[in-house]
Amino acid sequence: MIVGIDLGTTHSLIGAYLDDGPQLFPNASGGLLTPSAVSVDEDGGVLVGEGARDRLLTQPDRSVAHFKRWMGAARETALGNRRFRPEELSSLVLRSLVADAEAATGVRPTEAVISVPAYFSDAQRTATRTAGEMAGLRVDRLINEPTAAALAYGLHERRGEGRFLVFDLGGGTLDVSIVEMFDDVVEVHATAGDNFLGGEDFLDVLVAAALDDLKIAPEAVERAEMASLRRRIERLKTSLSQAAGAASVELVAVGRAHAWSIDEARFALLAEPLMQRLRIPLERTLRDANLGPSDLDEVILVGGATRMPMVVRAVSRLLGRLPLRHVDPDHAIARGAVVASGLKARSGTLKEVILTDVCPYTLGTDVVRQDGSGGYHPGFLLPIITRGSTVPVSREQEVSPVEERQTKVEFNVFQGENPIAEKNVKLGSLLVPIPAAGPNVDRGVLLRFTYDVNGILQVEAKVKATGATHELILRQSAGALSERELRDRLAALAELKVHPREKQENLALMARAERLYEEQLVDRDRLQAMMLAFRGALESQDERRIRHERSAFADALADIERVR
Amino acid sequence: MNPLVALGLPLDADERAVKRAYAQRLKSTRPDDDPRAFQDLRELYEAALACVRSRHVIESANPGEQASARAEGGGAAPAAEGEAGPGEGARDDEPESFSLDLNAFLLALGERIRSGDAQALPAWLARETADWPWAVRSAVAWHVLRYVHDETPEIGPKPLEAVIAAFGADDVLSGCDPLAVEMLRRRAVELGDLSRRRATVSALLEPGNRKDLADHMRGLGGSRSVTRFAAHVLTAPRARTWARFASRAPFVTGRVMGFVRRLDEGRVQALSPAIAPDVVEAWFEAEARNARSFLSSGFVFLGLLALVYLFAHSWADGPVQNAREVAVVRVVEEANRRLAAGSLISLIFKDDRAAGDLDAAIRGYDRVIRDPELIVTPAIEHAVALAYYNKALALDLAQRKEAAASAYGDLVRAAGTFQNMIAKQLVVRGLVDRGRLAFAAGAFDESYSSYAQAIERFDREADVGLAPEIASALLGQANVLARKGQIAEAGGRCDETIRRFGHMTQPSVQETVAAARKLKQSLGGDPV
Repeated sequence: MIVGIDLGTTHSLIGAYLDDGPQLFPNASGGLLTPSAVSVDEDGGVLVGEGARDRLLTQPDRSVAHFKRWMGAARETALGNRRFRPEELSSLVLRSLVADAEAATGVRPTEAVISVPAYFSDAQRTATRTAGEMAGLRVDRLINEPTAAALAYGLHERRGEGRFLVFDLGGGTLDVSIVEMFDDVVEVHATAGDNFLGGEDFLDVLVAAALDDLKIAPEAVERAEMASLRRRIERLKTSLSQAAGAASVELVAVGRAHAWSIDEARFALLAEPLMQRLRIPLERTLRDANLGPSDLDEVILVGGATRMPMVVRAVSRLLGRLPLRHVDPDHAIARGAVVASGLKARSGTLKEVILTDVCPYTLGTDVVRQDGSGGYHPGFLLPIITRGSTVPVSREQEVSPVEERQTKVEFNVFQGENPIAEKNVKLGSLLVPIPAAGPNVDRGVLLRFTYDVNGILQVEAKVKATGATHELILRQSAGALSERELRDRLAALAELKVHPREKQENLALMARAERLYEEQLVDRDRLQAMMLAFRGALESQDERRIRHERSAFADALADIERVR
Repeated sequence: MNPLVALGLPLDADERAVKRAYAQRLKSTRPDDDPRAFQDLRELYEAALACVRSRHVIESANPGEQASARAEGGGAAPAAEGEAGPGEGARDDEPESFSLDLNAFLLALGERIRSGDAQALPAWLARETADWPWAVRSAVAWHVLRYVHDETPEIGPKPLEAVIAAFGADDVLSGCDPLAVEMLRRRAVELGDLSRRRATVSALLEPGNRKDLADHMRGLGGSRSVTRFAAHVLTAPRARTWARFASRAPFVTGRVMGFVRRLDEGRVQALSPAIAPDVVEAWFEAEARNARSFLSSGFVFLGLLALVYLFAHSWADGPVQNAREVAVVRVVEEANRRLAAGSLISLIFKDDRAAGDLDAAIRGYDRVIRDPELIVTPAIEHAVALAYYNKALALDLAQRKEAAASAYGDLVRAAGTFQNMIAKQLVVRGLVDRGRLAFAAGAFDESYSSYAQAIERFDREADVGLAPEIASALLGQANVLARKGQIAEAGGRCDETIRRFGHMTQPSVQETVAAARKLKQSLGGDPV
């Protein structure tokens, strides 16, 4: 079975294209959104999802979230006495999702289409596929998130034709794509984005403002306190999105309780620098697609952070029209990934649709330029695949050495839009020996860039005189794992004790109770009594009693949370 | 073959038909099944679309046909139907919904930049261009940068970056020549440095700051009496004082003024408001009559002061790390002070009073050069190169011309492979100076080959910092050739100098170019 997965910064979802259309699968707690959080308990057992997110507050040293932002980097996170790479953390989330799919369908999925931010680089895409591999999934296809959202929207809301702009502001990334549909073709015209702009940044702004107002130095706040602070302010942010006017919150920091309130107008003012950054990718996609706002049939908002009224206002102002939100913004990408998985499986019930995507960034190499007076200036970017080229695409460019006595040419491969090569992301480099200069010696090198549907780049240099070819292996970049490292990591992961799905639900409930206990001062006795009772039930190992206690416990916790 | 025909369409097919034909073929040429065939199809499709769209633009250029095309299109046909493609519709509408007086905008922009309020510029640009469609911004970006280049030469790095950002010129697909943008950036940075330096110098040149100026010059090296004298000259408030100095010691006054002019980049009028500009001009004319001596000894002196001035700053925060490196830098710094003092004294008194200082300086440089344990790390490359260069300079000032020539040779041998930019500059300057010494000594072949070495080794360096030296080397070759009677070749060198460096704004380069023009004229040909 092929599944579609949205591996998000804050939440992840899984689903598959079944006979009756795209279907998303619930996790052990019954929700469709599984928090992308991982926690390791005192016995070394791994928790994923709700429980892990609750434990961010109670066990901050053993829990982690938002690791998608580190994908493709060599950064490791210590949880308990083990260190995890972002790929490994993602693979634990994927495993938990796979177990949910298996529980829902009875079949264990072996293959997946995973969505990634369009602006993800080669290293980040490779890391995502590695995470899939680590979770026992074959990931032949990655789909860009805004493309997935467009697919979900286009196929299930419109069924027609037209041109629309997808504005996808998630927890950690912003992507903007312009998509056109006609005659069962879904064609992406242009994509732009910001890999480091998302809901979390807006939260950071609020947290900084709160600490500033309360005259608390951020360093003075302990990790657990900070996690609880962020959670409460997150809730405040949600309520600011739902109703106009001010919202207030009770915060505990440096051991004391403080009251803090803010209104939407001030939040909008604080977030102004972030709002400025929204504008850049929006304008770039329109420019690249050579379209004006009036050429768009619709504007679609996707991603949880688009719930903020100021984001809706900014998009309406910039595009001169009210955006739409047909699909649930949290589910759109997952639905699209599921549709893509159905397309990949050539599912008979799905109308045949062909999807073409574009390369979101320019790829090229650095060259020397000569000025009018004959001086040489190194370090300019020669674009080989320009952004917005429909993929798969393969292009060739001839490059010649500058110096007579040169015997080697070094090609640095860059990704990005700045004409100055070094201001872009360097993907790797390739040293190509060339024949010595002489009469009738062609010293040119043909440089070929091939970019496939999954966004993986291949670079090949062919020396014209000798016909020798050299290939650049981009995996050598700092963030990527070698084959051996990967094997070792896989073996180590296999030894890791992951709590089974049935148990995860119980653990999540306990984690939630512990979090509530930490968060508040009233109802503590009641909570403690309930936790004791539930622990007793768990120890009895009597399935019937556990089930009974569990539902009562969950109801009571929901009750406490509602009151607050 | 016409892409429309290749897609099996008639030549008058519309956009809708192209899309339909593409979609049809795509079913058998899926991107994930056969990438190569897909890319071919995609290219065909894009070519066909371009073909249909360009036809549309030509049609819209004719108002009569445009009207009829619109009528045919049936204004009611919504974009969703794909009729004629919404993109075209927008392009027709744009001139109506948006109009721009580019000239007025450019004038206002120039005004803003000249007002020098760097902080307010980004906000002003954002406000002014808020409702410009991006297509318009990228279309005018190049004009705007050209205007900024031509009309606001004083633009600093920050306002320039604001302009570049506002028009998206910092984008590889923007259509602005990245090399030109980069040159504009470099100019802004250089001018920024210059204006800071100029501000310091003008402040010091206020008559009330005479003591500060003396201190400042002491900091550059030189004995108390010399610096006090120079400070007095520089800050003399009255024309009569100037005139007295000028008549008594025209040579010295010229030197010192030249120094200031160098620092102040030709704004000598700002020195003292009491001096009429025409008086200053007259002095400079007198100076020009003495051009040859100005170019030989005077140039060396000015170069030295500028150099010391430069290092007094760059060493303060240079990446010098360990104690050994620091020791080398200290020794060279100390020797530089003696050299600066010695050179001032020798220029003012023109006798052997400077010998003590110069010898001390040479001994200091030798401590570095002759140190058998010296390890040249990248951090001290420039200090070591400076030791070699200044030693040669000191020998030259001490009238030990042969020793100086061989010291320049040592410099080239020892520092020829250094990667540090300033070290490179010193090596090429050393080669040029050696050429000049040989020329003065009548060794024309030696002089020519020294210049040739400078050109050969450094002409391809990408840095514009070497331009003054390369220009002097070319002019030096022209002088040698002229002296040897090879008039045509000499003229060719002059032309090359003018052609390659004529557009540069650095004063030292301009001086060389002017000298090349003069030489060319005296050779009996019009400069290019």
